[in-house]
This record gives sequence, C-alpha cells and structure tokens, in this order.
Amino acid sequence: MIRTLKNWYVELISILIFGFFLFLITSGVPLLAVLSYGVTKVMKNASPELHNFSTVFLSLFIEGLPLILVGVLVSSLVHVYVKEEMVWRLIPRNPLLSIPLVTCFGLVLPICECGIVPVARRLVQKGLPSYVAFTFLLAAPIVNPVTIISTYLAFGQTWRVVFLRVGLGALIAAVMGFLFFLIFRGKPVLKVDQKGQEVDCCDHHHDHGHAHQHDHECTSHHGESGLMHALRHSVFEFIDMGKYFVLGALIAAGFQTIVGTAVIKSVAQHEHLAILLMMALAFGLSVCSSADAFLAASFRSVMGTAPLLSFLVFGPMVDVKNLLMMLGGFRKSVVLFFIVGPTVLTMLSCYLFL
Amino acid sequence: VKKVKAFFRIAICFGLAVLLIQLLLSGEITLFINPQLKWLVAASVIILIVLGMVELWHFRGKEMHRISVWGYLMLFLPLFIYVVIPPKTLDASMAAKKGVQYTVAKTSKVGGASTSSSSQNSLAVPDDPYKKYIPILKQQREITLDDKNFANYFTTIYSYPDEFLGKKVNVQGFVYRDENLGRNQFVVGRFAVTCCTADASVVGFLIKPNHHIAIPKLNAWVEATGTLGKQKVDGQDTPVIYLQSYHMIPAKKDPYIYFFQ
Repeated sequence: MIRTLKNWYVELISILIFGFFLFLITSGVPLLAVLSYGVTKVMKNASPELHNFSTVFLSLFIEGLPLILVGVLVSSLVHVYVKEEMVWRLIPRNPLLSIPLVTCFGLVLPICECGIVPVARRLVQKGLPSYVAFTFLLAAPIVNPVTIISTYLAFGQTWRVVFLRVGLGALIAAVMGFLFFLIFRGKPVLKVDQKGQEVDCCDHHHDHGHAHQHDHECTSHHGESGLMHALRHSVFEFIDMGKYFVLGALIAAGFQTIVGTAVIKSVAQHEHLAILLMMALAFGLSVCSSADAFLAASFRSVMGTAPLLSFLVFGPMVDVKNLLMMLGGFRKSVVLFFIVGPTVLTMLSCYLFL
Repeated sequence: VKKVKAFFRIAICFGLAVLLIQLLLSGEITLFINPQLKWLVAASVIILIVLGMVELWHFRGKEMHRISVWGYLMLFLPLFIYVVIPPKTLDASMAAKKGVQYTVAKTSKVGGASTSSSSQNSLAVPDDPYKKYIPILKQQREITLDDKNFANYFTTIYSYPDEFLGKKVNVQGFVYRDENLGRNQFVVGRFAVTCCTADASVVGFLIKPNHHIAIPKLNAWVEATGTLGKQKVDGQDTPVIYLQSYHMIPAKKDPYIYFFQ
C-alpha cells in the first residue's frame, strides 16, 4: 500500500514538474537559459572552439533525433506485430531468387543497423537460411525508407546520391549473400554461451527467461496492449541506440571543431586516400544509417561522390557498435567474414567508380 | 536502482522535449537546422512527449532492455552541454576550420594551406539550375545579396562570373581573413546551411579595396558595396568585388543562409 502510494507520488510529481516547465516555456521564460545564467558568466571567456563544438554537436543531435525516434517506433511496431514466421513464408527456397528479393525487404521492414543484428539473429533462430538473414542484415539499413528519405533531404533533395547509395548497397549485400551461401552453407553461425542460450545485447530480458517464446507473449503479456508494448519498447530502444548516437555526434563534433574538415579537404585531392579515410570515419563514427547522410553532406563541398559513397555504403554495413553487437551474437569466423567482405567490396566498387 | 532508471527515462524524454520546445519557441532553432525542417523537430517533440507519458504510465513496469547507467548519462549530455556551454553562432574561428570558399568551385581555399581538389563540387551540377538567375541578375542595376537570395545569387555569380563583370554589388556578411589573403584584402562571407549547422560551409566574396583603407576587424558584420571584377587567385579566375565603400552593421539575428529555400 505504502509502496503504491510512493510510486504514484513520484509520477504525480513528474507530471506536475513537466507541466510547470511547459507553462514556463509557453509564457516566455527561457528556462534553460536561466539555468545556465551563472555558468555562462564563468564560461564567457572560454575558447570559441568550445562554443562551436557545442553548436555543432547540438545541431547533429537535433537533426538526427527525429529520424532515430521514427526508426525506433517503426522497429518496435514491427517487433511486436510482425512475426518472423510470416516473413519466412514469403521467401522462396531458391537462393538465386531469395537473395535479390531479400535485399528489398528493408523497404517493408525498416530497421536501421542498430536494431538489425538481433532481428537477423532471431531470423536464423527461427530456421531461416543464414545467407538470407545475412543479406537482410547488410541490405536493410541502406535499402529502407527512413534512410532513403534522410539521404534525399541531406543531399539537397536530389535523387542521384540516393540511387547510387541504394544500388551499391543492395549490390554488395547480394554479392555477400551469395558468397556466404558458398562458404558457410550448413555450418552453425550462432554463438552459444555456456548455458546454451545465445547472448543478445538488444533482446528482452524476461525474468522468466524463455526468450524463444517471447514473441508470442509480446502482444498479450500482463494485459498490455500491443501498441503500448511497442511504445514502451521504443523508449528502451531509443535510449539504447541514442547512447551510440550521442557518442557518434560527440566524436563527429569534436572532429569538426578540433581537427576541422580543412584537414580532410587537404587529403580530399587524393581521392584514393579520401575513400579509405571516409571508410575509417564511417567505421569509427558509428552514426545511425538514418542520420549519417547529414554527416556525409557536410563533406560534399570538399570531395567527390566516390569517397562520400564509400562512407554512405560502408557505414551502415560495418561500424564499431555493429561489430560489438555481432560479436555478441555470432561466431567469430562469421563476424570476420562480414567485416572483410564489405570492406573489400566497398573499396573495389568505389575505386571502379572513380 | 530500478526506480532511478525509470525516472531517468522519463527525465530524458521530457527533458529533451522541453529543450526542443524552447528552441522552437525562441527561434534559436535556426542556429542548428534549416528552418525548412522545423516540422521534423516538432514531430520529435510530440513523439518524445508520448514516449515520456507511456513511460510514466508504466513507471513500475519491467525493464525491457538492460541499459547501463552510462547509456542514460549519454542521453543527458545534450541537455548538459546546452546548459553549460551555451551554443552561439558559428563565426570566423569556425570558418577557418571549415575552410572558406571564395575562389571558384573547382578550387577550395583552406585555412592554412591552399589546395586544389579535383573533386566536382555540389554547387556545379551538370544541368545547372542557376542558369535561370542570370537574366534576373542582369536586369538589376545593383545586385543586392540579402538573406533570402544570397545562396542562389552567390552561386550564380560564381558559376558565370563573366556575365556580371562591372556590375554593382551590395553584400552583407561577416569579415573573414587569413594569412593567405593579401594584406589589403578580406572576405565578406556567410555560413551556408543545407540541413543542419554541421554541414555548414562558408561562402563569401573576396573584397579588394581600391585604395588603402582600414580593414574591418575579424568577425565584424559589414555591408560592402563595389563593382564585380575578375582576378587570378591560385591560377583560377575568381570574381572579386572592387570595394567602393563599406559600413558596419549589427550582427544578424539569423546569421546563416540556406540552400533550397
């Protein structure tokens, strides 16, 4: 009884505080500015770089935030309402048909690379051929509506870069799928820990721990409606993905203000070097595929399409946070294959493109 | 700990919503993104509030992902940074990092060293949409570049400098200088934003005074009037403005210019 009271107490306070904030803001009080009033005095003679850093960081964050939120919402809705078995029924058995087909699956199942690893893992668990799941893993972050729209917006509402990005991404994913079919057919790909359960960094951790039945519970457990469940799930996924995004924005802003794009510009004349540099940047920044186009757009005044494309295509397939998640779910040989493969293919295709 | 985390989640959703609402209402949002994309920010405010409400409703609910405390702290960082280091308009110090473009598109002039990149520039696309501005500009007795038309007019003049030789030009912007510029020259430039400030680039006119005058200070906002000419900079024909006069103006409230308006 007391516990319930206490809980409600907190909730009530939260609502009141938020209402109060809204009231203050709408009545014209610059709330956060008031908060920062004292600090501002101290920071007044801080170096201009610090302020520039803050501006660039916040602009990256604010720009990417809506796209990440939409991505998280959609991914959660799919997570709750779409059963993997349903997906499986749609896929033909012949790899020559299924691999090209599955590259376009991201269009109906838009999950960016932050959420794709657990989905692909579950697909393999459900008995989907692993080469299909992996083609999906590589293609979905690029061939999906959110990424397409953000790329379109970032590159000044023109379609050229969008087509190149999507085409090249789908092509590399398909090639990787066939290679995977040839090399890993029939071999186990999932990592197994001591308890015989797969480790999963993005999965639900139910107290009653039968993860494989989890999807059947989703819609009905504890009397929660599916929509409510999806919304709650997106809060968690938002924070889970948001931390990588904030980290990425920090690194990117630091890079822009401390090193400066002027340095990349000085390298940009060597296009071959620029391609490698941009791929390394994509790997290190780990920006979500729904927002990385805006980052790439900031480089377009200094370099040609090929290095930009290497950034846009390579980033969603291989990056630091993706790598960590894959290492958590798949065998090392598989992960290695999925790092070396796209790296070589992206480099090859971008050099050919020059 | 569980309850603290639940509180964190609510605070993140509502806190970010409050931050965005404030930016929208105060108009400070133009410091960060192209105002054309305001609706995106408004959408995220709505989603954040809905998510915050849902989380509030399920305050005692189970955790669905295990997220470490640093994950939560990371998401407080934007709020923290906004409060501790108030952002301000990008200025000449940032321009030096970004590299200022005052030579024609094929050459990019860079803070320390001048480099010529063979890359094609986004401003010079094959079927040039800026051609349509040529007759409009030619009609005017004096070309005035204001906030609205700066991006388009600037690109037009830089794409077809020969069309406008001898024209009178009036331009407003901040003063930028670096050691590569001659002693008596400066650039009047603006930050051009496509989507967000992170993709801002600096565009500006090279200004050459006719006779010796006091050069305005770095970062000062000026309105300069002069005639368009041409000059070789790094072996490239570059439009320059032969200065007739300039005077100080107050810094713009919305300092950036936007492509695709």
